[in-house]
Amino acid sequence: MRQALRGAMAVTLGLGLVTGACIDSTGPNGNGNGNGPPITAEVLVLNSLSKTISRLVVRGDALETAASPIILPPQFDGVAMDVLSDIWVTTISAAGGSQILFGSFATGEQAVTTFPGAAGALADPSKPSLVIDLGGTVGTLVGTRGDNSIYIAFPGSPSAQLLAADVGEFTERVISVAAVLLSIDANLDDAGGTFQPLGDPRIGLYRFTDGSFFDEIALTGAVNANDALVLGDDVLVLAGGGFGPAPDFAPNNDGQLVIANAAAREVISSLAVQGNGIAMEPGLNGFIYVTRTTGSDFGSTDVLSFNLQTRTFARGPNNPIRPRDASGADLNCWAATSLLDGRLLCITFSAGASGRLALLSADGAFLDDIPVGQGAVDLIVR
Amino acid sequence: MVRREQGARAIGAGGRNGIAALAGIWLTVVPVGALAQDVTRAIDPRAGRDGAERVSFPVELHVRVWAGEGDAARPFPGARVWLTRTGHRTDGTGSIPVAEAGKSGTYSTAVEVGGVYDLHTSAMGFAPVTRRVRVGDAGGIASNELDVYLSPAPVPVEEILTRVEAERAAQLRGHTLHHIELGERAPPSTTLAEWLAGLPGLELRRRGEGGPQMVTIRGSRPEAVLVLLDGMPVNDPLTGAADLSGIPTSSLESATVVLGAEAGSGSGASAGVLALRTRSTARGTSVGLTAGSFGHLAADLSSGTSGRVGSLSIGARLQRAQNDYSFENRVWPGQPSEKRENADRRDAHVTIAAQLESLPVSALGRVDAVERGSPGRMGTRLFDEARWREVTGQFSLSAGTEGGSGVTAGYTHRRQWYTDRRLDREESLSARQIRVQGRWRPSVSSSWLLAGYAANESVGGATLDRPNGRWMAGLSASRAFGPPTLEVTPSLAADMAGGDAMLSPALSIGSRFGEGWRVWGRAAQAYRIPTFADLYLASSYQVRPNRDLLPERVRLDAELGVEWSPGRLRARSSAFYRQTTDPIVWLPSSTAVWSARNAGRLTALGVELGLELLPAVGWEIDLAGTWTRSRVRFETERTALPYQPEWSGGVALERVSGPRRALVRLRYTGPRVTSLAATHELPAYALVDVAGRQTIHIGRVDLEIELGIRNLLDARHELVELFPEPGRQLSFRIGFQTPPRSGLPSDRRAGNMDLDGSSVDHVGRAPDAEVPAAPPGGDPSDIPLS
Repeated sequence: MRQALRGAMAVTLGLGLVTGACIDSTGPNGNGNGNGPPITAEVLVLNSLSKTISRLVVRGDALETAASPIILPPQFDGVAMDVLSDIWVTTISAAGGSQILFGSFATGEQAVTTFPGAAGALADPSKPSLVIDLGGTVGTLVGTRGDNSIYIAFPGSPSAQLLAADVGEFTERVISVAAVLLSIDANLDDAGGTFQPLGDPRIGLYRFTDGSFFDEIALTGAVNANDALVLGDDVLVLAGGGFGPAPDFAPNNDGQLVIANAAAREVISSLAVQGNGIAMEPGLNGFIYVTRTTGSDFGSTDVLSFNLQTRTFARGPNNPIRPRDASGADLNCWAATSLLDGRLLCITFSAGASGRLALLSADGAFLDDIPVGQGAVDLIVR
Repeated sequence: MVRREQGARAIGAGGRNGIAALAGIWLTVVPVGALAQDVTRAIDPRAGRDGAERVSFPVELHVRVWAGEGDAARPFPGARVWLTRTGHRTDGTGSIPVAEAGKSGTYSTAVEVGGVYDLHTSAMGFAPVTRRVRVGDAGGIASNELDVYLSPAPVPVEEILTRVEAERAAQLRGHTLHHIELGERAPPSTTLAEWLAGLPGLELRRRGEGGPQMVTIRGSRPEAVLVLLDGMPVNDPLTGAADLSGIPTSSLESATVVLGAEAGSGSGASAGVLALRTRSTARGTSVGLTAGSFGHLAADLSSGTSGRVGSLSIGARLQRAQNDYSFENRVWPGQPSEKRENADRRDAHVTIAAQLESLPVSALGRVDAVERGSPGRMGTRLFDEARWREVTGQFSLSAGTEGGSGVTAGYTHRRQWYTDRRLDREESLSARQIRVQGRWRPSVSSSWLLAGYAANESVGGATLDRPNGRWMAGLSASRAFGPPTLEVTPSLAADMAGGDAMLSPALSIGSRFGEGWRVWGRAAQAYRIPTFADLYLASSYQVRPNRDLLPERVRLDAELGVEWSPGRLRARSSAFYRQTTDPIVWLPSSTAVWSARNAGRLTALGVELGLELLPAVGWEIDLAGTWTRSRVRFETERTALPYQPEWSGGVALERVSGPRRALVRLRYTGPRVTSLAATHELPAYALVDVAGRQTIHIGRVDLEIELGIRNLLDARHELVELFPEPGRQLSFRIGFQTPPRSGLPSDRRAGNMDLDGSSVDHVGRAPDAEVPAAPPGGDPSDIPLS
């Protein structure tokens, strides 16, 4: 579903109405026929430390568990997932032995796809993006940071297929628009382990048919481009920003939202987030939600919202949304998104104890929360 | 010489029970050595000419020990009395304790038909006595008494120190203790950590064969176990955990495990102390070659010599292993069978020990070097070229006094290198520590003990913020109170470390009553200061140092134990509880930036059970079981401590028959969760190890042949998730050993002073190197606490 958002926002909004269809009917209140207000959304949360996908629903102003969490394999260490209809996908890095994990909500089945060649375990896939072809086949696009390539993989196929090689130093996301692949290259030094910029990040343009490169857009002045969404001809890129030297590695607070026009091959505008960008999620209300750091370390965050229609911040760096917990204290969210009516959903990353999924008003006031797994890093609402 | 026919009256002046009419059963006592002859004569002036003294059997043997001679003789409590079966090697096998019954100077045990024993009696300030006891082969029941008269004799200083240390061990009676005379006990290729993991309350942690090996105690984390090698900490200054894989058992004399917090040892003894002692008393010259599965090859050498000035012993070991064992890659589609790669390692170890003859001064040096691969978990190739190298040099000098006081000064220098050619990465780290520790007892009989230490440690390396050092110092005092049957020992340790001051009180109570019953209890506090990595590590942008960390505190470490040892059975059980507040835990922040934090609370409680049974001569059965419930509390959530099984246990069956020894050991480890989230669990597993040894005497040389099979049933398992352990492993060792010569160096070290400024080593060691060490109960044995 999120891929649909990335491909065409209108389609996404339409699909966003399809809620609860994949919820396990055996789960508590999972069929939406329980007492009280109807279920308005299903929320999926990826938990990197507990290696699970939590399945929850929004009912009125409350959050409920929809079904038992999906248990991911022990080698799982991913930070992002994508969902399309009944299929979910996530990835495992080189440290876990590079793999792509597919799963079915309906059957609970999971399938592992590896990367070809002797060095396939070192491919190091980044954030996956599910795609669907005209024949109804679901597959996923991933960029790989180990061998700097783009692959496509299909559930049930043991090995991913190489689409393009030498696509950049640190590819964080690959998106397809019609017959074009957009490769978001953060251009960081992963081989040396410093993760410092090697140059400007870039958007590489490749033909889907044969993987050939035909152009690129340099994101001049941005640092660490780590996620992107497609808005018609435009591409919205979150450049998370850099960090300072040891030992503090303080955030440089130089994150940006960069809008580039793929047709013109140029950057249209860059909006400073006045912090380091952590995550960018599309909301069901058509806004984009960006979590950013708020201080001199990576310890606290707030949320910005971006209006797709106006290409401007609805709640910008000077007027951020401050998520709050039940006691009114600041809630440091890893990622946030919204329901159709603008209410927020945000996840907190926690280790040792469970993270939380919080339901908030559009202004960040607390409505409800529910425990999810440890290390919550991604959420999808549908 | 003495002979007493069966049915005669009880032997000696102290006899009290008749041994009448026990046809065909007789026990013969043959004095050995001049002292023994004198004693024997003193026992029974009606001794026969052939030196054989016959009494009835099966025998509940009572030994009354007297100090002095004639009318001046008085019952002597506090002596050590034990039996050994003759013809056995001096490795402690076949040792049968003769337990003291009350404080009357009477000791008792049971002996079997068909054996020949040496009855050993020793006490500080008296000449040791050894008598040969021969048991006949007919039936009958009797209760016999033997009297042993001890004559005052000059005692070497080291024995005084030994005795004092034993008394100090008794002061630690609030703890459960395990003492292992390693020597020849461990089967070939069994590592120290593997061997220790068979003890109740201890668990092994490692990431497959060839990597670091650590132990935990009573549901702790590895960094809560302080490991001391000859008094110097082994714990890694970065991680706080001690890697035992680089310390071969062949280089060690003994290992003593103190279960429970022991603040007198300084920082890090939150869950217990493992005190290791380098072998310094080579028994002749020994050379051995070992070969085993997965490319395991080893050569070891030890030798000792002595003269008027003193003694010198050396030991060396070279070993290598490929560790290219196969495993099922369960994270890959189809679960293919693969071979472990980059798990090879090479080790080199050298030890040198010297002791002066005229003074209780000893020096010890050792170098341990390891070069190994550092493979990742199954499925990844990311670490296939990652290598780890570590060289540690250690030197210590010890001196003791007759009163039980002593001082040890030590210096350790450690260098570590981590390289990864694939990433063109090389990091190094160096750590130094100087430590001076001492103890002082006002007199040999004093119930007071004062101990202290001062240490400086420094660490420098590329991954640290800057080179850092710190001073640590501590003082502890303890005193035992109470009547002989009930001893109460309060103690207090005060420490300054890294700018923090800590007070750690402790109270222990011990009591003996009835026939072979003993109970003990203890409540104590302890602490652990942050490691250098906790404070200064800044290896990447995802890792932050935290210089504001506080020491973690063990608010309460309590234990209640009971032991029952009627003759050939010893059963022991302990219940424990430990609560640690402000534990230092590495956790990611809300934005996944890792740093050490004082967070949550750790609790562990459990019950240990140990059973040692000597069903027949030459047979020994050990049973051990542990139930542990170890929990981590963060905020309002409580989860199981990763990798800590609730249930574990084992059984060992050992048979010693003359020059042959066989051992079968079964170990069971229950399911363990693998993370704080507890979403994954490793299944239970059971391992069976077998080992055998045959000694062949060829002239003055002993040829030793050993065969061992680890994991006989080829059980595939993981100790740490996705790090496969090897299946069945064979090992074979052939060795030559010359017999010990007169005047062999005995261990005169003043004690490594690693336990509250004192040592429990030497406890149970016979004064004669040829006499088996005496800790009862066999393998692994516990330190006798009286």
